[in-house]
Amino acid sequence: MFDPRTKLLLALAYGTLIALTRKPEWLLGEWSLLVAAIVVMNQWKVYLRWLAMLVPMALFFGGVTWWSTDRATGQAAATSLMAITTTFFVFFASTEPEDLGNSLVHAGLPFPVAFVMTAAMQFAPVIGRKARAIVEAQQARGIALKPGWRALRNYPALLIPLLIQSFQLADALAEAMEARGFGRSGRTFRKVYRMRMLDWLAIIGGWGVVAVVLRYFAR
Amino acid sequence: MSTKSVSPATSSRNTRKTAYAVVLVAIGVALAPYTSFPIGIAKVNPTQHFVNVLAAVLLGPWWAVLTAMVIGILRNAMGVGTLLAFPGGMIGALLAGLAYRMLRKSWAAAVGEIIGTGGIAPVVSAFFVAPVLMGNAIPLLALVPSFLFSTAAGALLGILALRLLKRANIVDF
Amino acid sequence: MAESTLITVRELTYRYRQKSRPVLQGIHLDISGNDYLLITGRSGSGKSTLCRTFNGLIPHFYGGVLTGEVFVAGAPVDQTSVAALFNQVGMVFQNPEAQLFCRSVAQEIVFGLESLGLPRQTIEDRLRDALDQAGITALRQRDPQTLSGGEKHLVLIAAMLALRPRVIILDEPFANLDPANVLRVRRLLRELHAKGCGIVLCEHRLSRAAPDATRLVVIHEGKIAADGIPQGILANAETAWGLETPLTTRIGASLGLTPLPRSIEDMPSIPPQPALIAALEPPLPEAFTHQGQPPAVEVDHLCCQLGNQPILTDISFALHPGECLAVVGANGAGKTTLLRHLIGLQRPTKGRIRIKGRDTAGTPISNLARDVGLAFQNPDNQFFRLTVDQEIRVGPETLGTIDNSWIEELMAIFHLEAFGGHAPYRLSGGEKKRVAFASALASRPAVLALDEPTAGQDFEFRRNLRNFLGQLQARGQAIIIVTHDLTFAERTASRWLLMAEGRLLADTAPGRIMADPALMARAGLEATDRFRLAQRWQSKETRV
Ligand SMILES: Nc1ncnc2c1ncn2[C@@H]1O[C@H](COP(=O)(O)OP(=O)(O)OP(=O)(O)O)[C@@H](O)[C@H]1O
Ligand SMILES: Nc1ncnc2c1ncn2[C@@H]1O[C@H](COP(=O)(O)OP(=O)(O)OP(=O)(O)O)[C@@H](O)[C@H]1O
Ligand SMILES: [Mg+2]
Ligand SMILES: [Mg+2]
Repeated sequence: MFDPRTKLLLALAYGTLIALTRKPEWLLGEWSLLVAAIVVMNQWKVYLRWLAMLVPMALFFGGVTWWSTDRATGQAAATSLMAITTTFFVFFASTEPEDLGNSLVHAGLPFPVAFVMTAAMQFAPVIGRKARAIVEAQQARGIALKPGWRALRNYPALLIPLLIQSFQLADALAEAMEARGFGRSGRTFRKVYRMRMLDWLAIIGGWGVVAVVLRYFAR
Repeated sequence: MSTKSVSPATSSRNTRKTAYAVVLVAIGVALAPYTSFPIGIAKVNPTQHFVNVLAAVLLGPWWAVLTAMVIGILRNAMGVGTLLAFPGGMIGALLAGLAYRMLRKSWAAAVGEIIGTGGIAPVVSAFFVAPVLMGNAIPLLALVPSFLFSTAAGALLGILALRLLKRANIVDF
Repeated sequence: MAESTLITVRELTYRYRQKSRPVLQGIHLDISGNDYLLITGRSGSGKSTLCRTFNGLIPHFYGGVLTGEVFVAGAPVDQTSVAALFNQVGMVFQNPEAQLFCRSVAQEIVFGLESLGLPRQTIEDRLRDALDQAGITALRQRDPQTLSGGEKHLVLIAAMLALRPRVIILDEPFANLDPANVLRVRRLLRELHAKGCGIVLCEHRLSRAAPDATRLVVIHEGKIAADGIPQGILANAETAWGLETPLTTRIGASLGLTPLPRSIEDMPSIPPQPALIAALEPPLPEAFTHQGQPPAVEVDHLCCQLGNQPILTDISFALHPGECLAVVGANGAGKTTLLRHLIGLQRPTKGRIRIKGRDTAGTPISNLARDVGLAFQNPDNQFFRLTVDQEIRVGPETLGTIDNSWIEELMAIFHLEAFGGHAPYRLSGGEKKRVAFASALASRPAVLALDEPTAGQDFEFRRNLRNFLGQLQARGQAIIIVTHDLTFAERTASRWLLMAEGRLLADTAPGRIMADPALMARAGLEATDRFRLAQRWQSKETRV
């Protein structure tokens, strides 16, 4: 649909809107809109899990604000924190990091930055698998590596092999990257990211609406 | 016929740094679910600080900041992180990298990381975020002790890991 | 001739930065675009190091000390960057996992083309051609890390093909592949060679690489020990450099055949000489007769499901003390999963497993670890102590069963005395494996289980391992090995479990399994050279 850069700018606009909104009912409305978007994108299961992580944080934050000022401010602070972070949840749920990185490269970001983003996504599961294989190999020798404080003294048995293999993996990866011309200048891209008219309209429109809402309604 | 002693070319060194950054990010993302635990109300994650120290020493300040940023982005994209992870990780990585660059000692990187993430980051984010969220600086400052604990644990592990890697002749720095 | 020479190496001596001695010494080599060159040599002889000089990774990426010259297409490598050479000399390295860094197969193939800065239309065209040539068009959108081992190698080769290199270099591509996948990769390489692309291949198991090669180079202790027609060199490879001479070559040499045959199919019709096989090959292990002892392992109608996927279906067998059993089958047949059940890393969905007569259900892994010593394929997964000696002791120390005299004996059996004080991380692949085996045996388990013990190992290692296992067996150790190296399995185990798609197809002597072509085809395996030759000569005898 939109270019990833457009989505980023729109997310920033929405975040600004929430951050500067002062009326509690507007805040709630802005957040509900996001939740509606999440339901439409069929991401609500992930969102619920993510909420479980964030809600205690927001409650704590709101609680302390309430304690140091007043109840209304506390509530608003908690809601606002939830809504802003949700904005970026929606952004990341609708944008592949690969697309984000590559489109930013078109806008002048150095290529290695985008590369780190996409390649790390590929290697995170590889490292995860390695960690599991190490845990199993150690268990097979009787070294327990279950999570928990009691097994903590055995953690070197996981961390050391993992680190050593990770750096060996990194060396092999670097070699493979060289062999496919990573360091060469003048790279082209098969997939092009173009900002079309629609993108520009969306950006201008989005920021315009935010400005209007802030100026006349939400504060 | 000539004998030449060669050190790796600059472009190759950059490739290697990129590859190290990739793997450090992957470690940060892959291990986070196993190592993050709640202290009080905040969740702390020593892996982030561990990775920051490694990146600061092996790659330098700018790559370390980049590594912390990408870990943040990926954890957000996977729905397991929040926006709040960004400032902490990145400030710590920057200070750790600068401290190491000045003193060339891995403990300096650890100290930089502890000051950055444990001390400065909450204050900075408090002052940035506080006016926006209408509260004042106090709420986030209440998080400082738990941040300090987790960053100290992670940074210490980072120093130990660096020594081991050096002794095992896996990396040189 | 001179024009078609692509890589020229003159008096090359090279030392890695961290090392005190040179790895390569006085190498002199010309590689042309018409070669299908096989490079072999013992583990650590410098094969991978030599390959790294062909595209400038040495010296540009590794640094170090270099004497002599390497030219690629006329350009001196030490003055030409890797970025300028990578599209002339395509490289596929040893570990496929580390080389796949893109989100999709298509992106993987395109990466090098983007580096070259080609226009978009050209990129699309070359992508299509490369996918087509490698026969992996159907995998186009897949995540490369989720592919099978054979497919990963095909993707890597396709990524090189797209660059239209003049020569492709592959470092041990077959190490973890089953016979069907090896054939697939070999066919592709032959096609490429026929189209005029040079091929350079490093490999230990010569019987599956030598038939296709037009030229063989043996590296021995950093020097080129031989260079020429494969069959001629192979005839005395074993005595001279400790390499494995394929059986067909040995037969041919002892009969004075010219030219020496490349494979069983290539053997001329000659009067059968079954006695010759017995004279040239090590004796097969004797059939096991158990002396009324109770079995060490009993697996009883074992089933395993992961998610809704059946991984193992109705497996039953027993293993007695002093017996050596080989589990053979194609990639993904469920061999590793079976081993994991013995030690409780995986629990049966149905059925039961008894170790030394006791049901393992509910027994924690740490208890099972006393009775089953399991060495996984990758020894790096377990090393975390500073010396080999500590590393071997850590298991029994944790279990509280340390026995110093046994540890010393183990160090002797596996020839590890000299390494006791070394750090395990920087040992060679074969040495690491030996440490892992010793460590699996350190707490005197009743059962020793080895997963792919020979993958990527040289001939000497395989021969020694056979002796180690023989010694242990004679002491009453029950051994179970999982492998797709049938030659090794035939020489080591008198009994095979043949697996395919999670089922046990047969449990009997190797000779009876290989005699059934339908069974072998179903399991996706290929009979050993020894067996095929014996069979061919037998059938001729009966016909005469
Ligand atoms: N990156 C490196 N740094 C330092 N030494 C190395 C490096 N790579 C290899 N070596 C050393 O160089 C020697 C030759 O290694 P190389 O990998 O070339 O052998 P190989 O013939 O490919 O062996 P294998 O059959 O086991 O793959 C070995 O002693 C090894 O320890
Ligand atoms: N944790 C798991 N979850 C789901 N499927 C799995 C899991 N582990 C293994 N499998 C599947 O089980 C099957 C058997 O795997 P296994 O590793 O036992 O095969 P193998 O015979 O050892 O193969 P190889 O020769 O390649 O090592 C494969 O199809 C694999 O994809
Ligand atoms: Mg090698
Ligand atoms: Mg397996």
